[in-house]
Amino acid sequence: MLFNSLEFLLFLPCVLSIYYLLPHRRQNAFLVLASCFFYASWDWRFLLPLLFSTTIDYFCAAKISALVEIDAPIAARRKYLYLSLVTNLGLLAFFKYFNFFIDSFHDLFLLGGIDLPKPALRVILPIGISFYTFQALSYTIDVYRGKLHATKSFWDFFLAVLFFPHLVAGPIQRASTLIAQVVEPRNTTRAQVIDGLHLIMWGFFKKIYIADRLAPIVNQVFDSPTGSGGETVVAVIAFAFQIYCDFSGYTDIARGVAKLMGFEFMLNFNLPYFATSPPDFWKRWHISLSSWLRDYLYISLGGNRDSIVRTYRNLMITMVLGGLWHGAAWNFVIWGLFHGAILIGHRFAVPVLEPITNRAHGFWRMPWLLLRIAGMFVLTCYGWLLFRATSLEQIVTMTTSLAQPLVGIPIDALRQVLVLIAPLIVVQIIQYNSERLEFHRLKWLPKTACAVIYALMLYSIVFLGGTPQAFVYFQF
Amino acid sequence: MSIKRFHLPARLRQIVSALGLVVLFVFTLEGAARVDDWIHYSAPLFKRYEFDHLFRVDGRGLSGAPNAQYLRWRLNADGLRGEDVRPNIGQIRILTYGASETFGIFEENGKEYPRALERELNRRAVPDQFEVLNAGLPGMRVGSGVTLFKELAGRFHPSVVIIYPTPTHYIGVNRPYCNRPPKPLLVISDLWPGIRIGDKLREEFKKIVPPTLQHEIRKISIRWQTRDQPLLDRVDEISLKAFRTDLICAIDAASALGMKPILVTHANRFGKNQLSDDPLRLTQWRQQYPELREAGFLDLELRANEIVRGLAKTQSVLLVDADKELSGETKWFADHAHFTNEGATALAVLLTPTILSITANLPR
Repeated sequence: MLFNSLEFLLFLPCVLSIYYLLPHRRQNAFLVLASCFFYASWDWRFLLPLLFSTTIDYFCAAKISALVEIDAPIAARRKYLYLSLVTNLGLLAFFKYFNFFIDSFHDLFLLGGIDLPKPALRVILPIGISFYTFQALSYTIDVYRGKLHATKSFWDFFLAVLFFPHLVAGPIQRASTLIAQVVEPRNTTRAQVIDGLHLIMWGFFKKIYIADRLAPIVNQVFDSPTGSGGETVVAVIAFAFQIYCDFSGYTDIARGVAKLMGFEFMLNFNLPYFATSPPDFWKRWHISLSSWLRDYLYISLGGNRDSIVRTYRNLMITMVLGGLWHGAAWNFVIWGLFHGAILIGHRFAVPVLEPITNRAHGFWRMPWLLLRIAGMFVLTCYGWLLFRATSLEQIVTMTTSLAQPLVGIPIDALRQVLVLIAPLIVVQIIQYNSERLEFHRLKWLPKTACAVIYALMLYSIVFLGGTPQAFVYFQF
Repeated sequence: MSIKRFHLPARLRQIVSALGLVVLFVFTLEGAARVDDWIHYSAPLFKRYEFDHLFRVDGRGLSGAPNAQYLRWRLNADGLRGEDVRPNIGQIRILTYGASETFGIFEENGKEYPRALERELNRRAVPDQFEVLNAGLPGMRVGSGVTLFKELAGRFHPSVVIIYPTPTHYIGVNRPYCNRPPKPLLVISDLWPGIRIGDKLREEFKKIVPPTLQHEIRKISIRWQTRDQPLLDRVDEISLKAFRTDLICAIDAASALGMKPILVTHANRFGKNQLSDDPLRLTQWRQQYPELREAGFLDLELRANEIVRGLAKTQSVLLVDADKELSGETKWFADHAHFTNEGATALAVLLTPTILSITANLPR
């Protein structure tokens, strides 16, 4: 049941109308049922690994919490943490990477002239497994670190993991914030309803009007690249906005739906293409994942507490695993390597860049800011080429085409891309300058203008949208 | 003297303001629909824009408006669907005469059956030897179009006329329409600019709502429309007599004008074996004529096609039995009787040998 489907448009009002009638504890029970129904609409069997891993996590966290209370030695706690880690990562590895490793080993042996038979087992990836695994892990790790008490009710924890708005593509909620919202009674305020509806509308606009209409332009080039530099540039720019509008559109809808039920989800995107440097980009792009990787992987590896070489190593490991989290394919590994490299490169460049930034005042402030934004956008776009490519050969072909003089720019496609992204850019410039993402709450924007904007957005969603496409991040 | 200023109570002010915003919202949607149509189809911004803009009504009755365009449908300078009629350089002209099935509703531009027929004939003969004129007019009864086809015959001198009649247009009819000029199905004043957003929403609704739900909605609508009306199980004999008289009228007019008529039976998507979605399609059909029960449509088709076959024999007119060859092939029909691209091509292929057989000896 995709957010951009008729089924969901019927499902949501039904859920909301029942939800508002129920008292708090029954609301939770009802949301568990609704979320199970939502997830089972893809395949009911997907519920089994989810139920298994959450049961283990609940049990481990309860044991750890009990051991913390009696001040038991850390080794005893660690045993349960490892059990949770092995279960979650084991399931993730089996479902997500089994085929990848089998194929990679097969190809490796083939290079040595040995043609091993491939096992007949092909594993189907349960939707959203990467998201809910990380979310459940944050719970046991936080309990282990003593930042969180294990919840008494299994169903509260189950709901926190299973809650349908974030289940299949995030944002990856921290257990500490979401479980508290599940346990405490919720009152949906008028402001939450207004913000929620705004987010849903804006999310659908980004997904249906922008991302789905950019998709054919992108697919045409990536499905059969001609080696023309101009074509590659337009396709990569289009993909940069497609993936952003697709994923942030999904997140906005998820956050909006959660708000309608009185939940608050964390911000997942904060104008990422306004980033001025690689670290700034990762503070703005897929924040729930990047902060998860920082808190639970990078810091666990030692972060920047040791030597500079170890810091770089930790950065690289974090980014490569972050890349691999997206999918079991070599291009995601290369994408992670690329981002690790530019993060390290940026650390080298800081002594040069910082004095310029400090001196760029008055007239020079804006050009220098724009230059940094543009520079980071170019790097990000190259990253998206690596991300979107379907094979290593394609990466080489398209990279080579970029190295040649830019000829054969498809003007029609470029014009189409610019027309599609123009409303997004206008809104984001306003958001960037006003430093608030809820543009409908801008004081200078009268209600009449809001009515016109929402009508135009609704028209674009209903009548001008592209062919419906599944959300890109559903595959992860 | 102080004048007391009138203030609306706060609550009422809020309601008025909210209503104002709703009105502005709806007006913006309507404006967006109009600008969208203007950009995509050069539609007028402030006038009504509907399917019937393709047609005009004058002293001769209803006919195609020259160079009219509505969405993807375009008429040529003579008010016929398709490219402009070529100057006469000796090509054999075929006139296709009928209602919406001939005009083309669901097919892509250039894929309607007269265009497909022209391609098929020219592919099998000398290139550009044949030119097919589309004299289809949606909603036209076979008798009432005779005036129009007489006029077209006078201007373009076609050698052959293909008559593809639509029996359902005779439901409730009790006298022939021969030589009575066709009338528009609905006359709406041009002063009323219409509400385009409503039409667009209806179209979107049809796309996303499951067919079974649409079926139920149609059934409710039909029940509502016929609540005070007696229902028919089958079409009266008098209506079929009018159909027969009109067909004879068209055949006679064609012969009198020196054209060779070819009669074609009416094909539909319902075969001998009932399919699971047949009831849905029949109800969709019935929506146009709610007074006739679903089974009555199939009965009408059978009886009308028997009349066509009988007339072909008694009047010594060539017959192409489209009903026998095409009916029941669901892929050829977009709804109950209108063709898909493939269906239009299938009819064209079916007609071609008959046309070639009678045009072989015609002077070019």
